[in-house]
Amino acid sequence: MQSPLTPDDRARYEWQLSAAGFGEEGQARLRSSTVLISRIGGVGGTLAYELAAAGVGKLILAHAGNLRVDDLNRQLLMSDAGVDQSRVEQAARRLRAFNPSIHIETVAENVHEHNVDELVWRADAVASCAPLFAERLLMNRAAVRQGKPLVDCAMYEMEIQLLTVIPGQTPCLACLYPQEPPAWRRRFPVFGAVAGTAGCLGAMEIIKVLSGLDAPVAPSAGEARLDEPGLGEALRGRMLIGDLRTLKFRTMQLRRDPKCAVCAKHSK
Amino acid sequence: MRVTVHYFAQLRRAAGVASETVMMEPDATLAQLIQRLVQGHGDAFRAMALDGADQPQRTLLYAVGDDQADLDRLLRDGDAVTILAPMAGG
Ligand SMILES: [Zn+2]
Repeated sequence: MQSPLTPDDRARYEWQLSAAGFGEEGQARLRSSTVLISRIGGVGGTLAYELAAAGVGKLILAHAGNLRVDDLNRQLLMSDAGVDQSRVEQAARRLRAFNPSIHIETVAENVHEHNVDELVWRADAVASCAPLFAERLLMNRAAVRQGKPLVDCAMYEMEIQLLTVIPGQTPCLACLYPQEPPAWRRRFPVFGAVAGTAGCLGAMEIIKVLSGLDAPVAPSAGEARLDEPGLGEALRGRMLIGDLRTLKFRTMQLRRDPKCAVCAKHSK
Repeated sequence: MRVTVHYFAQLRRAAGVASETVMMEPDATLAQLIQRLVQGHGDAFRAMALDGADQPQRTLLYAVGDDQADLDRLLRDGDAVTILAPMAGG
């Protein structure tokens, strides 16, 4: 069973503890959870910030390289004085100062073929916020194989896309993109507020999945009521598409690819 | 029949419009729609919409209404088609 919350926990998380369907049990689940965050830039950095605020017990931050001045329009965990210094160390310092009660582990490399399985293995959920499809598809494959939920966050200019993969239950990233899209370029226009929106939405998906708020059917079955514990639903099999230019948001119903090389043999 | 197309991400840039309406023969497929759209736009659009064999790209996501759709999907008058180019984090 989850250990009870400390008085400090109760004080720090007071504003969210009374959220319907969450409560001390949800908080305790977050505290005992580990999330792997691939890249802590505009999307992943904001997502990490929100998970630290929510009290996720351990965050593993994976991101290679040093801060560039042109990262500063969106990478909120960094600082102007930190240009040319390690991104992941700056992010860890900021997060530790913000919430000293959680553990931050840094991995000064990006997720790749040789570290992906081990990194995913140590996490309860994966936040995929990388700019490269190869990296996102690697994490998707590892997450599906290991049965770990994965939230994939993406952006372009003023648009965002969000997808939650529950292995064995929903389509995976490889159902949608069986191979790396050829037209994709690494550099693209984007505002920090767009990256941050994708990160905040992704963080809420992870909080839901870890805390028990992702329950399409209310535990008591029958009629679903707003105050029913556990009521809520992650983006299971749906992709959120948001256009911040027009503020139009919608979800697209996705299908599993029955021939998907990654998830077809992991179906239930 | 009349079909409305909504573009997202790089494809919207390449198309130069966020959406447009096109007239198609009855029972046209989604794949035929893509070929029609390619004719109406420039090289950047063609490079994104078609693969090396001039077939519609399988790494674009297509939806009719709010449902993901295959390229052989038959379209109907009034359908709203969404074409999503891939995006990523960063
Ligand atoms: Zn799949």
